Amino acid sequence: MKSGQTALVVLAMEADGETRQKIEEFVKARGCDGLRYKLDPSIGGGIVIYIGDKVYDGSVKGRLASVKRNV
Amino acid sequence: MNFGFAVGSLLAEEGGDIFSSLGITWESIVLHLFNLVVLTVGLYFLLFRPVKKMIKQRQEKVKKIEKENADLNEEVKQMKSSSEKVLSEAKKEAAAIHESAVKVANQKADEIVAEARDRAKTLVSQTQRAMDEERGKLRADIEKQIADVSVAVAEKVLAKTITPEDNKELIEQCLDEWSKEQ
Repeated sequence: MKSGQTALVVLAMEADGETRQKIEEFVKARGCDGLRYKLDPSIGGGIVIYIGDKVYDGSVKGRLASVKRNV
Repeated sequence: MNFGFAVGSLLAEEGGDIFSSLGITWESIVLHLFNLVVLTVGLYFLLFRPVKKMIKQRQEKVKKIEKENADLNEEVKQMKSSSEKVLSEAKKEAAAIHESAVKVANQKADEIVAEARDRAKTLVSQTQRAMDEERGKLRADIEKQIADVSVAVAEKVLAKTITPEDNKELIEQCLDEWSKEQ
């Protein structure tokens, strides 16, 4: 993973300070020196993190899509 | 001649008068006898023999014709017998041909029926397979639609019921899982 990247974090609703801290630690551990938050209620809940080409999808919408694919 | 001469002599001796009154002499009697003999011989050679010969010829001819007739009758009989035999053989041959034709026709009919049955069986099998495939597709479509509807419903229900605490827990759970993966 390249260093000096900016991570994009998508949330369904505002997160508290503790959660934000954990998110920042997570993206820093993956070589990002900055992050940007975006609120998108359509993901239903959970979190989606974009770091370069890598996508971490922990949203309700993503999980339901995965279930739907498996069905 | 001697007999004529003797008769003449006798007549001359015993009734010479009667014969002589009638103008019959032994010379005339002899002459008549001679004439009779000559006539008889002449008739024999000129009439009796040719007639006899002609009758014999006719008889032979009749016999020949009868023989030819008999031969012809025999030939006709043989021909009739032969034709009856030929006719009988022809009838037998015709019966055999007919029987063979019937046999071949029955065999052909059996083959056609068997082929039709096979085709029908294949058709039924193909139709059954197509129906199974179609049923499978329909089932898959229905399952997909059920999944779509279920997911849509779940999305809506979760979007309405998820609380900030649930959301926080979900985010932290995800971060933990992703950290463990690396």
